[in-house]
Amino acid sequence: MRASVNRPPTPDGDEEKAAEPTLQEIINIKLIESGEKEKLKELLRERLIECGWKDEMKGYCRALTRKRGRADVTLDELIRTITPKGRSSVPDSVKAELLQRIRSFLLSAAL
Amino acid sequence: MEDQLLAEQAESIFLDLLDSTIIDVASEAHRAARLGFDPRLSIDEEGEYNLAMQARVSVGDFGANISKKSQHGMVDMFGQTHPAVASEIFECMSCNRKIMAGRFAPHLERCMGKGRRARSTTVDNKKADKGDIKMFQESFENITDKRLKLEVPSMANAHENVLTTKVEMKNRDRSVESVHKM
Repeated sequence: MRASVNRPPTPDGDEEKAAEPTLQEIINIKLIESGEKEKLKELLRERLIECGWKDEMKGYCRALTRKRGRADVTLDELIRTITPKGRSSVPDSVKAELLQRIRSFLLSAAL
Repeated sequence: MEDQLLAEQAESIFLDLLDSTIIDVASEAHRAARLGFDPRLSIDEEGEYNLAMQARVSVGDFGANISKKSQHGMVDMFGQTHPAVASEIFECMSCNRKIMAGRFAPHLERCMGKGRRARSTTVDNKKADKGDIKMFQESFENITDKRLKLEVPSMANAHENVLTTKVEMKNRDRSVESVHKM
């Protein structure tokens, strides 16, 4: 038998095994491509600063920094510390506004 | 998209954005902690030297090696200083006089207003034909090295931008003539 006959299958065969992009991924791509993600991020940031949320988070960070020491505190620690606090202390109005905007986007993107 | 799926997706996107924001805040705080809230924490050698020199001057230390320029802090990153008025001398392409580079702009204001006239009104300016501007521009581009070659920005928006000074062309016929002489 010729060596060429025993070649492994060409890559084409492998492609079919790759998963279809999930709905989540499609949405994400549309968000980014349209520039809406950036705008939403800006909006969220603005609202969170206005209502003092950012200052609150920075307060927690400072407290942790004092505890661990300026040179020793790690970014990881900070993130882990303020994430639960951050998530739970977002004002309802801010959340509602963002959700509303996201929903409009999803509907308008004909998803 | 059905309501429930819509709500789920929206929620998930929101959380993603929120997490992103949280990370940013943490990064900022972390950086501030490491640097002590001081944007100039790392010692800026030359900056420090200049500041130190300035401090010496204010204290009246005559022994210190201070040059007038670095005293004012007008030293660029190569340690060079530049005189307040550019001193290179060249020839004006319009009137063929020797002009100091630093005095070129005011000179042109007068020179291009033809003869001794210092300024002209902008009304006449607007009447000027765009075609003339083009010739003017081309002549500028043909200037050889002895003369000051100025960056002429696009003439698309009226001649107000020429030479970045308020150069007005009072009598365009005259100026075209003088341009042709170049």
